[in-house]
Amino acid sequence: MTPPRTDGHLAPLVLLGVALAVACVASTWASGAPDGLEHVAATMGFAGSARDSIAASSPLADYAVGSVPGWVSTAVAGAVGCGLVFGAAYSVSRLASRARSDRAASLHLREDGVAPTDRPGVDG
Amino acid sequence: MHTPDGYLNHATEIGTALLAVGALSLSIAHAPREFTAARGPAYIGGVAAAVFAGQMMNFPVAGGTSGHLMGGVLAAVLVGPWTAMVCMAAILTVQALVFADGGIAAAGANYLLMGAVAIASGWLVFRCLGRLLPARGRGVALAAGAGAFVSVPTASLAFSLLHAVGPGAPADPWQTAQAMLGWHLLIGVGEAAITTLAVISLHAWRSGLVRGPAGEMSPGRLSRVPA
Repeated sequence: MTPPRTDGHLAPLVLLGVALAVACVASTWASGAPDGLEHVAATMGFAGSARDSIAASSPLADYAVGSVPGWVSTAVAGAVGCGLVFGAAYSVSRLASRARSDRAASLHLREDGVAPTDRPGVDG
Repeated sequence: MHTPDGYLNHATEIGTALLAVGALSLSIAHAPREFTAARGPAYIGGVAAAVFAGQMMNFPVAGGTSGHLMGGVLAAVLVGPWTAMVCMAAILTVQALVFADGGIAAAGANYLLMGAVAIASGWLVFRCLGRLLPARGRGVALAAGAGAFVSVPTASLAFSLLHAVGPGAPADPWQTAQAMLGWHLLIGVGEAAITTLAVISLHAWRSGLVRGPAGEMSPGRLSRVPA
């Protein structure tokens, strides 16, 4: 049941590195213009129906740290966001995968849910 | 395309939230079938973080408007469509709760649009084209780009439909749909470019990191063949 650790942590670390570089550095040059939906809402006259979300008072609302100016603020927001998203996706998929292996084990199936004699070598 | 609270009326916000809960449960149930040793939880977390970062990177489009990667199709090609739905849930939840990007009452609508509709439509195109294009490297990347392109205007039309059914403030549905489609066709070009480049790069580095249509397009699976 233990997965072979051939590649281990390199690919996740590289992806996380790219994510941090984009979220913390490159995004300081991101366009501040309204996005497609905001633009359409403004021209079609329904932009005014938007309400502030209850998260609007979050210390990181709008990808900025309250009092910290400029790029530092964006970089901190980007790093926190990457960390939280990584953690959330990692935890949910780990829990889902465990639940599935437990179920498979109790049914005497392989971890991928395919009975041992069925379709050897094909996964997914 | 993060819908704030209030663009849709309460009934639509509640209805989409219920549908979103169903879509997420289904995704969590199906996602583990797509996991492999090389594409397990840590890799999935990395893909989600990279898509989140891509969503911060607004690029200018014509006429003082911007767009950004939605990334659902990119994630689907890398880790599988159900797992991509789990990634989008993580991303949209963090955005709504921590960064006030996209409403909380509208979170269900955002999940249906940028998760379910974008991934389902893009995945369909990716699968169909995958049968016509060479099943390796660039063929996968081109099919991914085409799927990514289609996913953006499709999600924008789905928003227009929701807004026509339950608007927070009235607007001409036909004109809204036309405007949404026009801008998001342009944004879709950016989505396609980023997705194609990302898939080409990852495939060139370690082909096993790109799951492809059903896992079979990655002959260099890291669990068996060292890259």
